[in-house]
Amino acid sequence: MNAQMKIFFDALSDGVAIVNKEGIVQYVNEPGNTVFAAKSGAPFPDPRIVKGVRDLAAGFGKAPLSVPLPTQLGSPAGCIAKLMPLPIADQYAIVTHIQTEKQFYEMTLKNFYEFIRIDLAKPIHQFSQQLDFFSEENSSSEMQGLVENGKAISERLQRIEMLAELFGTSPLVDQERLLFETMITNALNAENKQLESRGLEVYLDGLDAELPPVYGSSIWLTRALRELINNAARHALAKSRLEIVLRCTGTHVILSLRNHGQFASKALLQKKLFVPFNQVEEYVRDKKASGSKPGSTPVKGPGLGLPICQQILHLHGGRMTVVEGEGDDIIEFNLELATGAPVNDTQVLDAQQAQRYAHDMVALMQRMQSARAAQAASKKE
Amino acid sequence: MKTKRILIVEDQADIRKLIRMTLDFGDYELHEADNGDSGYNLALTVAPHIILLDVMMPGSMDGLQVCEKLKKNPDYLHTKIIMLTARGQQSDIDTGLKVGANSYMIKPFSPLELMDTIDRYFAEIEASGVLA
Repeated sequence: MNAQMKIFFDALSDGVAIVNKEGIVQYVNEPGNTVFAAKSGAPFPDPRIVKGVRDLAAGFGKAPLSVPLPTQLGSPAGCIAKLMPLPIADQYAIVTHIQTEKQFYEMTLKNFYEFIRIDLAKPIHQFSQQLDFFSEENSSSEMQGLVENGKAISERLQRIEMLAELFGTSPLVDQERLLFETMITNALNAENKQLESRGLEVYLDGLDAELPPVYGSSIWLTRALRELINNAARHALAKSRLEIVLRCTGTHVILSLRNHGQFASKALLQKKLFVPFNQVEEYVRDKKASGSKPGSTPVKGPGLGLPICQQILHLHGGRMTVVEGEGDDIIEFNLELATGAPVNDTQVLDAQQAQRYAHDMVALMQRMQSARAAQAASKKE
Repeated sequence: MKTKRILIVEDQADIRKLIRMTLDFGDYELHEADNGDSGYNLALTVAPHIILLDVMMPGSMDGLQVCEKLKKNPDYLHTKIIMLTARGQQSDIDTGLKVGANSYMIKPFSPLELMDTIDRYFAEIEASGVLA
């Protein structure tokens, strides 16, 4: 194979091996080396692949032929190999696509979301409209009761649809290496419109290169941060200051977000703020109605936002709290995340690593024996 | 000839043990740390020629930060750092190389390949006269 073709194949993320009609490996690219221990000149290590190639060469089966490869013991990765003839005579390509656990869950989530969105949401909306029609047509108490119950069910199902839409993108937990600098910059950029519309000044402190990384889902932790900033911006007094301060305790990074905002009892906020589907608005309204100081900005309840943020943080070993501030018009949220990677407390050697060690053991022993023999020979001399 | 010193920084005890078993085939002075902070401090104390450094570790410093801090120190500019990564993600590899790592190995790594890499690095170190 010429050098340019080799560069091309090595640049692919999928594993590629080229074999002859007998299944003897002619070439394997770099990603392929990590998937299957194929060696040039030797038969492809999986007998089903060899059989598949021989079948294709003999005219049996239709290319591309899919062959699922077994997963390693304890490995979350799955692998599909596709076999197809090449334009070069008697040569066949084996292309592997690695399906990781993450991809599996992404696909599952997508399927679930599509089920809710297409199969469930449409009939719910139709049902809701029909209920409205029947309630106008029939005023009997039985029908009204039925309509009320139906509407309650429809409303709850719509919440499931909203949840599916929220979570139908990617797994909640991941192990990406995340820098606060990147996350905060991304979150602030995404919320820039909201911040500008309220004329808020953002004060940022403690964001330096020494801050340790955290490990988690980039998408979801940034989303949690966005929700927090968005919430603070919505509740802040117009043209006031939003303060974001970061500090590291050694084991955790704590992000404090303070806004000078509308009055709401902190005790009330603390109690209800993190309850899913709870609307803080009504509590604020109640408070106003009872004669407390009214705010200058209309408040929309965070609804799904903050409760879900808290769950996301919990799943990443972190937490979100409301801190008692200096005065009633200052609200401070703390977002806390553990530094470094999650603790790996497994006491059992990873099965793949053990297999790898066992595979190399003979060669290592031989190497040691040769070294000893050489040492003994040099002593004799 | 000076002793060949290797520091293993890895939070998983079983992987540390496996690396030690592998390196026992050679004549090295081995040091171990189970997190980034103690690994960094041990590196400053024992001045290893080669460091095997896990990327993902709990605590206030992960492998990439340890590597970055050491490589900023002129005394450790020539220390060979081999990053061990569990995921083989290109971003990890790119970041590792950017902060000064000499090479990386993807877990499950081959002990044979590890030995070969270490032998190669010590040959380079010897050639540069550091061990003489």
